[in-house]
Amino acid sequence: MFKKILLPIAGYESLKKAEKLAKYLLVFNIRDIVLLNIGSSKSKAHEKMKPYVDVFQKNNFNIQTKWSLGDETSEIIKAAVLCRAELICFLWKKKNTLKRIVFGNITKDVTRLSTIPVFLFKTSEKKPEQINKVLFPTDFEETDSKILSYITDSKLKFEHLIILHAGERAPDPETEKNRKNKVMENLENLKNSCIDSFSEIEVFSSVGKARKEIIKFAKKHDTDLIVIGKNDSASSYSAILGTSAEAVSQNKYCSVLIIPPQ
Amino acid sequence: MNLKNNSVFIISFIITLTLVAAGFFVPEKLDSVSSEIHLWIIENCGWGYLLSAFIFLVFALFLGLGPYKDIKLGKDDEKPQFTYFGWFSMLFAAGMGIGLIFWGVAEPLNHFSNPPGYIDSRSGEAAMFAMKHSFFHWGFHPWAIYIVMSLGIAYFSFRRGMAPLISSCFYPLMGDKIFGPAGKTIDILAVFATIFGISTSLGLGAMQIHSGLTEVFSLPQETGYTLLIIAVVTFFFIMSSITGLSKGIQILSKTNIIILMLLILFMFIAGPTSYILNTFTSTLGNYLSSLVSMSLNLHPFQGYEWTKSWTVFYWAWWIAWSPFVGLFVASISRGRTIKEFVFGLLLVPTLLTFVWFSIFGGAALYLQIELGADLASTAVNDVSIVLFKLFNYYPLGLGLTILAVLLLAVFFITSADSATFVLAMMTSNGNFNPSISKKLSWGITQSLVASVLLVSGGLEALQKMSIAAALPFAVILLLLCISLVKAFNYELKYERTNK
Repeated sequence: MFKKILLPIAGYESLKKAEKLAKYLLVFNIRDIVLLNIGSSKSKAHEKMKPYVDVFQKNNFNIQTKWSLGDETSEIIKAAVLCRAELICFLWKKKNTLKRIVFGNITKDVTRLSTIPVFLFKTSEKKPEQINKVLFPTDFEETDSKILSYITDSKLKFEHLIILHAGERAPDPETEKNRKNKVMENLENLKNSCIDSFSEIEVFSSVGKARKEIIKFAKKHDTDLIVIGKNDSASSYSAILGTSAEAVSQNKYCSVLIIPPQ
Repeated sequence: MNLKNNSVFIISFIITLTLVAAGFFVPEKLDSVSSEIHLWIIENCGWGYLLSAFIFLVFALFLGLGPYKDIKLGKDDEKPQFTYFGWFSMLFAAGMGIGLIFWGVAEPLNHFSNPPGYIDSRSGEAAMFAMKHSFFHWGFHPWAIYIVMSLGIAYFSFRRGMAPLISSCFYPLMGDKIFGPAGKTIDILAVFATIFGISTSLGLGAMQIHSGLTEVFSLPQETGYTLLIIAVVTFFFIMSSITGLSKGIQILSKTNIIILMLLILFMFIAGPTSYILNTFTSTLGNYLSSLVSMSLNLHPFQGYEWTKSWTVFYWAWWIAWSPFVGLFVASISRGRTIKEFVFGLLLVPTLLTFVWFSIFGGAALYLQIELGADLASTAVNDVSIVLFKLFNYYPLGLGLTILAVLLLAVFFITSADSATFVLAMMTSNGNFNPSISKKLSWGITQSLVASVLLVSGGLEALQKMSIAAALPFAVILLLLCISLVKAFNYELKYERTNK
């Protein structure tokens, strides 16, 4: 699992949310955090990060701080590589559409460019012991095995797994019936491959655009985390609108862990 | 009769009878209601028709050239059912047929006489405008509309094994809902558009045959004779329909194409040959070079009225015809690849149409401009007789009129025959061999509709109603494009790679 994570801090993130993240990270069994501030002077950067350092130290995390100047997305990715972080984590806050258009969306850019997993933390009102439901959307691609290795890790403390396949409807009823049967067969295989790691596993198949269905499901089943694979061989549709992983990462209901293929 | 299985037949039959009764007993009321709907649509939705027709053309080209071009409209090892000659003959007969004979001379002369306000009437510029827009209205766009509809039906029925119904094309979007009320509504709308479209076309066709016979035999212009013509032709098309698609329509269509070719050849040789060739070449160049600007130009500042009454009307008319032509074209296109299908439909009938307009429209304009014959006024006053007036200037004029009447009659029979087959198929849950009783019911109904409304004067009202039916069909066709792309993507992504 993840030993060291990189957490970019701009200085305006809510301390309450950071507190919640500290509790949440316990389910990942993480101990080492590198805080990164970009765009301030060294002294200002440390000043900005100080309250967050206190929060995480209070929760017994080992904290390192770093600062840098330059383009935020590139600096985050560069810093993650330099400090050998295994996960980039964000205290995610929904930006309105106009802000996203004008100022860009760093979390989305990092999700797209990063070759290490990215975790977007959304506020959770649950206590750490109540955080136990994980949603694994699958398209039966190569990233599945990688995701399985994360979610079946014995250090990860989730108990309830939901495996979801959201796919387009086949062109005719007969093919659709066969498609559904094949999907259920694949889902059962996935379920069997992680049956020892969870006390409860449910499988679902739904019809529609993956990005919409995943978010709909996460909301409906009140999941605590979505673990989704990122597919680099994107279609022209994805090239314009972003991959499903990028779209799902921006949902406001549930934290998301994005696993890259490499 | 099983009510559930025949719900489309029963509901559409009741709607048809109700509207025919309204057209017979209260024609003025039907006319005022249909005029209002028609006016509103033409006034407010013109941009939508132009934009969607252009989208269909671009989409058709994308299908013919893009990644889906090698998909077969049938199983991978299937061969086309009809020869190229038989296929093109039937395509032309069903897609254009009577309309082209009706408008071949009349449309260029009408535009020549009454162009939009920014062009001087009866000028050289008006003549070029007239020819270019006749090509435009009968060229790539109508066939692109037909391609979307017929490709959808052919793909989902022959390749995916579904019933040949318009509702079947929406399975990728609607799933099993196509078997419920939403799907039935689409099919009922298709029946409605087909029966009224074909009835008005038959009514107008019968009137033109009557005009032709009047020229030859000096028949009095009484409605009784037009009704007699409808009765005689009905007998023939019902006989043809009962013999089955592969025999009746094919034999008639091939005969028709041969008559058409003979007529074209004679008019070309006996007429102003080099003038016709000049007209064809210049108009083709003009048409191709201004295709995009014509496709999207509503002339909002000057000439909007003209665009509304011609281009928007035509686009609505072709869309209203698309369920009928789409189903028919699909039924004769099994075993062809998408590329072959798209370019076969887009190029061959269009080229024949351009040749027809150049020979007949070009000859009429030659007589009008160079020899001072006033055919344009005749075309404006009575569209149905101008073709026969043109023949008067040619050697063997009487023979040509008889040949044209024969051509009209056979087109009448092939259109009505195809429509009977399509209506019976649509109301038999897509059965490719509908019962004779259903064919008889629809065959007699469409002739009755045409006759009753011819007598009561409700024919024009009915034409407006079918234009109104085109509005939901424009939306249906746009959704069909999405549905097709979804289905093709699925096939390429999962079935060709065996994922």
